[in-house]
Amino acid sequence: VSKGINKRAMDRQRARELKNQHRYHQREIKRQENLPSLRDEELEELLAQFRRNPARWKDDGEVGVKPLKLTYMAGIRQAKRVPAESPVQKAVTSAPASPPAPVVDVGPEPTKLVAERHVARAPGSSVIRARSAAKAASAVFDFLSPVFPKRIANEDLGDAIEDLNRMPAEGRPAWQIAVRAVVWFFILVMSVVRFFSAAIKGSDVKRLG
Amino acid sequence: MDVPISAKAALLHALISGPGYGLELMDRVRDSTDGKLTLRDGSVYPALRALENEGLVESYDGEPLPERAGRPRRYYRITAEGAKVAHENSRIAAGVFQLVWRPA
Repeated sequence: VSKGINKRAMDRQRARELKNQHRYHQREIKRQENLPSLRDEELEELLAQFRRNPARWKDDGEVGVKPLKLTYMAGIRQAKRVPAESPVQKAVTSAPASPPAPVVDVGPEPTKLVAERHVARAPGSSVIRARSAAKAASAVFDFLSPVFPKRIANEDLGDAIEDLNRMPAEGRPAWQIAVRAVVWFFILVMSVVRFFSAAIKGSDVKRLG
Repeated sequence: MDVPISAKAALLHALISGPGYGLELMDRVRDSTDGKLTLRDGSVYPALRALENEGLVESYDGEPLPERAGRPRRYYRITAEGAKVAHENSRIAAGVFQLVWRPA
């Protein structure tokens, strides 16, 4: 009986913990959505600081499906908890006998307010969404390629993939990439229709195929 | 305003400056006309194939590229016959425009 009571108590405790965890996550997300404002020059200064020491900062655009704000926040927390090791320190650790190298100034540690503002206006967010869209569209076209004749798969479909993959670099948003992917899909369908109609008419398919 | 030039003529003239593939030729036409003439994606490939069927251009595969998921580019280059036709087209177009703009 006592074992059963203990188990129920543990289950209740676990349920409470999970509930608290969920509430914490909800609060955290809400808090990050209401971040304070910063002037542009402050933001630029912050960006310059992080460019000088990119090891602290995760803005390489390879975030994937994780929400961008949370990822940046995680990067900031990590940076505050474990200060990034400077190249000078690394050199000293690997070769203790060498004379001490001059200290490299990487700028002041950003305040929490400044750091959070950078998160709120993270410049990479739209680029990451655009890259994801391009990647997804390219994957779909790649998947469909066995259906198309070889010439169309190499030329039209290859150009479609290349075009979609260079759109994020041109600063195009994700929705434009999606629209472009749909347009390319119709172009490909039309090319296939033309190809087979030429085959039926008996024109020189070998040359085009 | 639409520029009254066919995709085939524009592509043939774009190929005079050297071989190119579909996307590159579209960019070349747009750049050479300062953005006044933009070929639609849907019209470029049929036009290139028509030019190839007419023997005015010839095509060959390039190297497979990672940005195209390992597919090669299909390059087109103008043939001697194509160059002759392009030259003739230019001459006719120049004559037509001279006719239009000749002062009275």
